[in-house]
Amino acid sequence: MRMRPLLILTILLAGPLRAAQADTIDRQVSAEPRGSVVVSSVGGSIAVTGWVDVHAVVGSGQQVEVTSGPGHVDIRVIRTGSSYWRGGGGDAQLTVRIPQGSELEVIAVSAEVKSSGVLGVQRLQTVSGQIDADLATDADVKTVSGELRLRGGGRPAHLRVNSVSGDVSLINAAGELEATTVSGMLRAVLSPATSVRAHTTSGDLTVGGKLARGITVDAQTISGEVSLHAPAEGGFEYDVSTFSGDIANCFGQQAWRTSTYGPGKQLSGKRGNGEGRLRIKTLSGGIDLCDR
Amino acid sequence: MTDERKPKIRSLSELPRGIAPARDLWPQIAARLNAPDESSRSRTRLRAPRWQWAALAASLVAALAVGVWIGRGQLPLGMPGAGVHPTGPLEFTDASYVSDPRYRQQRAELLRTLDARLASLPPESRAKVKASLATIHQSMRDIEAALGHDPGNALLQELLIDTYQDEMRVLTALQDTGAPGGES
Repeated sequence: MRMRPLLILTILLAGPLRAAQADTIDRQVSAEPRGSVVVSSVGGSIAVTGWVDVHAVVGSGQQVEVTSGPGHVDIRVIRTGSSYWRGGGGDAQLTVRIPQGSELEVIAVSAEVKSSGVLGVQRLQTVSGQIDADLATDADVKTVSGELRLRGGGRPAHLRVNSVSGDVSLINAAGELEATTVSGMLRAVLSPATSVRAHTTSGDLTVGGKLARGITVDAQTISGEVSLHAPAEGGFEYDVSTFSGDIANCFGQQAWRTSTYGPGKQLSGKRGNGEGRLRIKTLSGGIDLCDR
Repeated sequence: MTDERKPKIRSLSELPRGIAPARDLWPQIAARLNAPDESSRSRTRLRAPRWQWAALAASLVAALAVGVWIGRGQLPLGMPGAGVHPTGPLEFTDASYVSDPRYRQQRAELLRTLDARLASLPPESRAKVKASLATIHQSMRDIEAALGHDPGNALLQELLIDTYQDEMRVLTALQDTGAPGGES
């Protein structure tokens, strides 16, 4: 096998218990231009950048395990503390430079994750750390309580974003978007999207940008507010319903009550040629719909 | 009985799990089934497969609908080991509208390990996750209460099912939050 060094990893081990013995070690391993790279850590930070150059240096300390095989590199930070969120082993600051075309998987607990310049599929997951990432193609991003700041590549891709309480901000997202949060706010700017499935419980849901011809939107909240202001090529049919919220729109149309005696409002109709399909529903959250 | 004497139902969860018929219907049904009907036997035989499938489909749909909407839960209401939470225990809502045994089994398993998962989170995250779970459970209660007033509301039914799914998603996400790399 051609063992050409393609991966650079610089690891700085530092933290409350290791400040006096902060250590920087470089190590080289081979990586293929379109292989996969897995990075996992507990605390500190992880920064991943894609680049065209194929030189590689890998840094490692006692608590870092790097393994590589055909088409695959695994970088793992091993903590020695009794509890991984108490900082028992110090925080590892990882800077990883990988071939641009790599698939990237990052699994972190409380580490902040930054990813830029990676053109392959990305799977990024953290419990409480923030994720800041450029997503050139398909991606699956998950957090429990960390904030997500995501930038799409403006080309059709399939993006899946899941958060429990962390806020989600996504811009320049094209193609298919599936996003769910519980209490986190979800803001997406589409350029343009072909399908959107967005779901929150109490988090507000805000969608802007552009909708592609034949768009399908399925948006739902329980108590979160929904705002969708986006033009769609070819127009769309819309069906909006709420149990106890209000419905606003820029169509000059009045929502009607679904029951004579109980709560419930609905709004449906068609804009333009009606090629797309929008469906929005809430329990108590207000809905604001506009195609401008 | 007049309306004044009827107890008020404020939520579907207050409805009884089942209502026994006033009399045993089975003997008559069995007698009818056992009685030969030569005139219609051949026709019945020909039509049996379609009827069987239709009956099976109908029974499955009915079972699912009944199970989802008036099924009663068997899970404990309390969260295991709630005392470790500094801000007080989470109140877990009974999954009273879902009777699918696989769902119940998976949910029970996730609840069993939830305490350990929460304890392993950083305190700030733990508080946020607990708040999110509380939000979900409050949503369940709100929707169930609304369904108590409007049981046939399709929007509420859909939102309730989705909220149950949200809870499972959070529980599953927590299950997946093991510390990477292990600890030594």
